[in-house]
Amino acid sequence: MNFISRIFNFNNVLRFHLRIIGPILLLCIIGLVALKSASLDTLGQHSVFSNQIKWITIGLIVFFIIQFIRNNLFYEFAYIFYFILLVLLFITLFMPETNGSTRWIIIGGMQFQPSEFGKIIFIMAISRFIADYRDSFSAHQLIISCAFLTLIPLSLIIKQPDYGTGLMYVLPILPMLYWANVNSKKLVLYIFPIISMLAQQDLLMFYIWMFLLIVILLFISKNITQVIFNFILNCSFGLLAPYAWQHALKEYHRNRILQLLYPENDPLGAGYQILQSKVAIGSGGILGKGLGEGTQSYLRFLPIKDSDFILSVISEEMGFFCILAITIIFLLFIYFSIDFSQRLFNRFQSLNIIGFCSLLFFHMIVNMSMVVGLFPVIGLPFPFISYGGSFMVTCFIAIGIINNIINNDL
Amino acid sequence: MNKYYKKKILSYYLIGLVVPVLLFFFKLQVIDYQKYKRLSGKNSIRSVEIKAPRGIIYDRNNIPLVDNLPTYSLKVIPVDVIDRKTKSISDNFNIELLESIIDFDKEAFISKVMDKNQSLEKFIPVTIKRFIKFEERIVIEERIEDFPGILFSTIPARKYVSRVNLSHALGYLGLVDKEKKTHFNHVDSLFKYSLGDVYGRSGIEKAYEYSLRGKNGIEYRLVDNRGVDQGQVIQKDNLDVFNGPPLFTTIDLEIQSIVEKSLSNNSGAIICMDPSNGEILAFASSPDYDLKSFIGPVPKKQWDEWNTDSKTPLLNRVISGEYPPGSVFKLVTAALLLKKNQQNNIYECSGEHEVGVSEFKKCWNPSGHGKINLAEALKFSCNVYFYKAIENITFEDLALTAQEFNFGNRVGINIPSERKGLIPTPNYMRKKYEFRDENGLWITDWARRGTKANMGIGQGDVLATPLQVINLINIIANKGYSYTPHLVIGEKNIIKKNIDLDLNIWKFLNKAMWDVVNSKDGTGKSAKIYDKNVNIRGKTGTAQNPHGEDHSWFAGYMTARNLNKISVVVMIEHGGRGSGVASLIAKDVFSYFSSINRD
Repeated sequence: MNFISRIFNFNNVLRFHLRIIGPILLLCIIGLVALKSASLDTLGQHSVFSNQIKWITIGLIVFFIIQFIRNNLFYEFAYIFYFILLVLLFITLFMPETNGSTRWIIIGGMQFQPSEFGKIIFIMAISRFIADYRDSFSAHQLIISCAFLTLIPLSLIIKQPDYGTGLMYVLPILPMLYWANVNSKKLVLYIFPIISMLAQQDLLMFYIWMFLLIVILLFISKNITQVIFNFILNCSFGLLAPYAWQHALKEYHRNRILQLLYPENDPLGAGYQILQSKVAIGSGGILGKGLGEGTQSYLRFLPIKDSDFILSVISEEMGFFCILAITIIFLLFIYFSIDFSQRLFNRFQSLNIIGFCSLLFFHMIVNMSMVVGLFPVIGLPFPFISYGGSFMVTCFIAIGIINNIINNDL
Repeated sequence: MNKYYKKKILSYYLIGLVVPVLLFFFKLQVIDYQKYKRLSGKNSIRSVEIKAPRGIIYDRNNIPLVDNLPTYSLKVIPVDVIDRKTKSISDNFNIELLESIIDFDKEAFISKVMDKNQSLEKFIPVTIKRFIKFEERIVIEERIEDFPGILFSTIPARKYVSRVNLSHALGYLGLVDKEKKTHFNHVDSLFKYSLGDVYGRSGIEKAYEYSLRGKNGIEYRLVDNRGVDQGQVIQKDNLDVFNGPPLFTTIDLEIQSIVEKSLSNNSGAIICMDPSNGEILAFASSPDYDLKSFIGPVPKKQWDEWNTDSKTPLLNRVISGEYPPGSVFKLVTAALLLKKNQQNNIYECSGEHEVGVSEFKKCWNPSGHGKINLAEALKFSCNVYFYKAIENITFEDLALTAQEFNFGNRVGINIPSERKGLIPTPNYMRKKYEFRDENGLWITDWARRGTKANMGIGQGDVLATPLQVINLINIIANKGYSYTPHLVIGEKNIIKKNIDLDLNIWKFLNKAMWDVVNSKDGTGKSAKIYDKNVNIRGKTGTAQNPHGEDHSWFAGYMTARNLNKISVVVMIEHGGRGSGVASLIAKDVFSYFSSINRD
């Protein structure tokens, strides 16, 4: 009994905040409609639709259960969960390969992807770390130690390899650090070297970036030594990148990265998908062709049209207005979450909310960029709309925790 | 900064990220709506792979040896050919007409298309026939309405444009099938192959596969609801083809042509090199195979024919042919004798020599050469002198010296299937010749029964490739070093190998080789040309072999004013005496070279 009371607190306030759950349910409904329509003539597979209903139901149940979890549990167990996550990620490396990567732990017939639920755990751990050390660490110390905490799971995920999920371990940290009062001028100094490394691919781009860099650096800091130091650092990152590319990386590493950055080089694969997706989106127009009227027959036969490319189906059948609506609904949810977070006094819980909603936000933005060809196809789904079990449950856990926090800490 | 302010900033920031993406959706769906509407609907987009031509191969004077010829591959998209209701070939598709235009296996085609008529696969073009000529394509295209779903893609095939064959050096191509594809495209290989690609199977084509290969492109084409091709879609989405980069070989077309002509009636090998840098100027192995008689990769039938031919045309005799080197090998033995300072020893040749108990070895001249020294022994190619001289030399020494001259080891040319030849080391001899006789005695006297004597004149178990022999000539011509022989200009892995011997030894060998060709009674005098500007040095060889008449060798080099050295090795299988046919062929090559000199 003691055990249960450590985890659950049945005296928790049970309120469903419409500002949180409302937009989410709307998104789920749009997703279901799209799936219903998309799966109409996929060789009679209606199971996609009913499966999605099943997953949403499971998600809602999880959401409900989370409401009774003792609020402080997240804080107390954050590091333990983080450690367990690392162990599980390590185990995946020894799992048999499925579709060219080892993301899943397979026990018997069950498949389990630790990096998926790990997104939640990771954000909790980072939240706790920032909350604990924000006052005692300087901004630079905080950024570097957060980077260190990220790099451990990140390197294990890259090793699988699963670049999409890996990206989702990096991006949410930036808003969180910002939220924790880390000076954004200092924060960007850590992002610049990455931009320098990317910019060196094109000489003109590199010159423009170097010019911009000087302007920004002068704007950020009055200390001329600091400006010079940062400029030299960025220059050397940019100039050494090709060297590191040639010498530090093995050929198959290079190969994998090239495949990720230039999927169109894979003749009949991703490049073709993107073109089909663009045609589907473009031909939808403002109002769309109507449900079940999508004629982009190729897209119907794409195996991932239900998950990563669901937005193409929606664009084709329901048009630009629906995309606009989805974005607005999503941004409303984000805004309300930030609003709640701002009113919280508990640092850890406040950071948690920011972490979760930026996680969901970055999923959205990367998925949207992916289907229109602005971003490499790295297999990230659209939250609450794309078909897929464990991701749906992960999303519901995230908003479940947000709701729990709002109920008990506000 | 208060929290309220921060909330605003963060929200603006996030919205700022969304807006460009939304604008992109807006561009696609509102601004470019008409364009994409045309592409959707009843039309559909299909991607067609465009095969990249391989790099053109040139000779050293930039004359193309191998070019590309556009041929076509006829493909069909299953979904357009098969009637949705009856699940058989649609009535609109006139298969009989197609059969009358091109020759193809109709039954196999039908079953293949039926087989592919599944969910995703039915949109992927199925190849009916590869390497169709331009004329046939025109005929089919005139009746395109009878063949819905037909696509052509261009496949570049190799075209051998020069007057030489050079088959063994160039090598031939193979077609990538399913099995090869999985073999080549393992996860970490940088070059991906698709079905119907070609790959080098031998020679330069294989060794320089990655330098010659281009990069295939992708073209997106619009196909209407009848399956007829309506041309390209959005150009910028296409993926450009990159032609394979050109490859410049060290081959000299003129020399190669002379060499091939003189070898045409014999089987054997000729190789010409520039000793000063290791470049191969001519590379011929006869009989060769004709790459010009078909289009595309080697057809199965042709391949089987070559493989079963008793003349073994596929054998690259220059690098994979292992022959007893005969008297040419005396140069190595002589080098050893010189190293031991025995050049002044005089032995008498009476025409034969007793090596074991009443076991006689004969000189090629049955009346004998009389009392001679080492220089004369080389000039006359006297066997008996070497039998006698070798007696106070150990077997190990001889084997080691041979190995020092790279016999028994690969010279390291960068084309596949070079062989090592054979230098019988004491270990090898023990394994092969020691035995237990009928009384149970372990007989170990192989060294006493003339094997060493045999080895000293390049007979017995000694085997060498013509490439190893020319490497020996290069070493002597350079007085102590040689470069890795190579066929491509700018080849990276060229090693300079030194042999540390006294300069006088090299001078002695050079003088002896000069005598072989230029003195009245030298065995190689047939190779002499009467031109005061050139100096030819050489050594002949007459190699006894168990298969028939002797192999005829000539190995030598020429120096001339204002011209690089050129080394030549001629090996004619069963050509008789080295002083005969091999020397005469070498003379042709030398006289061509001296004629350039005169111009």
